[in-house]
Amino acid sequence: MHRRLERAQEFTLTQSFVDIAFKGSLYALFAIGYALTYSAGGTLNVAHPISAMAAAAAVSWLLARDQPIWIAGGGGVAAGAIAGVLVDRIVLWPARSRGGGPLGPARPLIAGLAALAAFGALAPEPERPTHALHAGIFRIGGFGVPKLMVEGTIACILALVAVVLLVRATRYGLGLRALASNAAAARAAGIGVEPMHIRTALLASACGALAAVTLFTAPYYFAGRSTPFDLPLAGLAAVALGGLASIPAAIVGAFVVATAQIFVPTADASDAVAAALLVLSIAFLPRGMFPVTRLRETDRA
Amino acid sequence: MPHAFAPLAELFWRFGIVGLIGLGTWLVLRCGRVMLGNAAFAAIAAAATAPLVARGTPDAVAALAGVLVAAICGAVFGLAAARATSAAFALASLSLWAVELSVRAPSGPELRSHGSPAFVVAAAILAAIGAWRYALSRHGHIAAAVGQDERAAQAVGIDPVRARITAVTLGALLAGVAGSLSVFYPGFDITAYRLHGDIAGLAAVVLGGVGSSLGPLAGAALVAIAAVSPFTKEHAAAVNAIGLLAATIVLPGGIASIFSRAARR
Repeated sequence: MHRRLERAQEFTLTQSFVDIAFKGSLYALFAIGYALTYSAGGTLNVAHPISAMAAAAAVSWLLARDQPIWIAGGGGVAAGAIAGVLVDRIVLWPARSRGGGPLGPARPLIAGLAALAAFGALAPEPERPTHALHAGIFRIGGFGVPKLMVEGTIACILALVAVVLLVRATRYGLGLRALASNAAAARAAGIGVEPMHIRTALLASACGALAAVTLFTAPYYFAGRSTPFDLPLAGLAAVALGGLASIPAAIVGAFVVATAQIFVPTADASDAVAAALLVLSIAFLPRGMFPVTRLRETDRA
Repeated sequence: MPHAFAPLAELFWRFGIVGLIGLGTWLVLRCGRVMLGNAAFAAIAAAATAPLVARGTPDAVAALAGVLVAAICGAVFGLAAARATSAAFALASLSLWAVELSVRAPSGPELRSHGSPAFVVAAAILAAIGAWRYALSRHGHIAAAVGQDERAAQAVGIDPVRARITAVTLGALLAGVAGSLSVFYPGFDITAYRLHGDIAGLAAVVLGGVGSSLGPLAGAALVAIAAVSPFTKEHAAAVNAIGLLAATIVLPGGIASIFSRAARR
C-alpha cells in the first residue's frame, strides 16, 4: 500500500514537472515576443498573437497536404514571422510614426488591438489534423509524454537560449538595449531605429510562432478547452510578473505562471489563474519581480 | 412589435449599449489610460442581472443590482491598476478578457426578454449629458489634467491615482448600465461581449472622436448601423475592427475632427 502511494506521488510529480517544462517554455517564448517589441518601441504589441494565429493556420494547411511535421513546423514559424513583420509595417509603424494627436501614445496600442480583432474575425479557425500528430510516446518516470511535445519543448528551450544570447552578445542586441535605454541617444549614435524595429518584429514573431506551433501540435493539449486563449494571456502575465523590458525576467515570469497553473484542475481555470496573476502583479509589483529601472523610463507616466 | 420595426429596434438597442460602453472607455481615455476590456464590466452586470430576472425579481431592482456589482468590480480594478504605467494599465485591462470568456448567463430567448430600446437609448443620452457636465466640472478638469500631463498635475497638488480610480469606476458603472439593460434585449447573448464588445466600444470612441462626450455616441451610431445594415451585418465584427484600425491611423480625431476642420475653413 505504502509502495503504491509512493509510486502515485512520483507519477504526479513527474507529470507536474513535464507540464511546467512544456507550458513554461511555451509561455516564455511567447512572452519574450512582448518584451522584445516593448524594448524596441516602448509600447505593448497587442497584435503579437497574430503571428501565433498565422503560424497555426500555416501548420494546419501544410499538414492537411500531407507534408512532414518538420516542414509544417518550419513553414508555420516562417508564416508567423512574416505576419509579424507585415503587422509591424502596415499597422504599428504608421500608428507609431504619427504619434501625438488626440489619442497620444495609445495609438499603436489601439491599432494593434484592432488589427488582432480584424485578423481574428476574418481568418478561419485552423483545423487540427489530429491524425498527423501522433508520432509516438516517450516514457518519463512511468508517465507517457507524446514525442511531439518533448521535441517542441526542447525546440522552445533552445530558442529561448538563442534569443538570450542574441540579445546579450551580438551587435543587434547591443543596439536593442541602447534603444530601450535611451532612444534619442541611440538615434544620435547612428542606430537605425526602423531597421531595428523590423528585425525585432521578425525575431519576436518567430518566437511567438514557434510557441504556437508547439502548442498546436501537442496531441492532447486542446482536450476540454473552450478556447486556446491561454498563450497570449499567460504571456502577458509573464511579462507583468517579470517586468516588461527584461527578457530573462519574462522567462522567469513564464515559469512562475506555468507552476501556478498546475494547481488548478481544468484548462479554463488556468486562464483565470493567469488573469489573476496579471492583475495582482500589476497591483503589488508594478515594475515586476525584476525591475529594470533605466529601461523605458519615458513610460513611467 | 411589428416585424417591420424590428431592425430599427435592434439599431436602437445596439446604439445604446455600444454608446454606454464607449462613454465608459472615453472617461478612462480622458485620464490618460486605455481601457481595452470595458465590456467585461457590462458582461459582469449582465451575469448578475440575468439570474435575478429569471427568478422573478422586479426588473428595476435586478438592473440596479447588476450596475452596483459592475461599479464595485470597476472600483476594485481601479484600485489595483491605477498606479500602473500606461503599458501596464493596458496589460491589466487585457486580463478582463478572461472575465468576458468565463461569465455565463441565460440568453434573451431563455429569459423571454421583451424590453423596449427606449430605456437604453435614454440611458445613453443621459450618460452623454452627464459625461459632458462631468467634463466641465472640477473633477472633469482634474481628469483631463492627469491625462494631458501627469507630472504637471501632480505638481499642482492633484492626486492622479484618485482621478484614475474615479474614472475607471465611472466607466465600469456606465458599462454596467449597458450590461444590465442588455438583459432585456430580445436577442441578448452574453458571449457577444467577448472582445467584440471591447472593439465596438473603442470603435465608437475613436470613430466618433475623443474630443467630447458626444463623440462616443456619434461613433456608436456608426457601429450600430454597421451591425444592422444588410451589407455589413454578417461581418460586423470585422467591419468594426477595420473601421477602428483605419480611424486610429488615418483619422485619430474621429469624424468630429472633420467637422471641426470644416468649421475652421
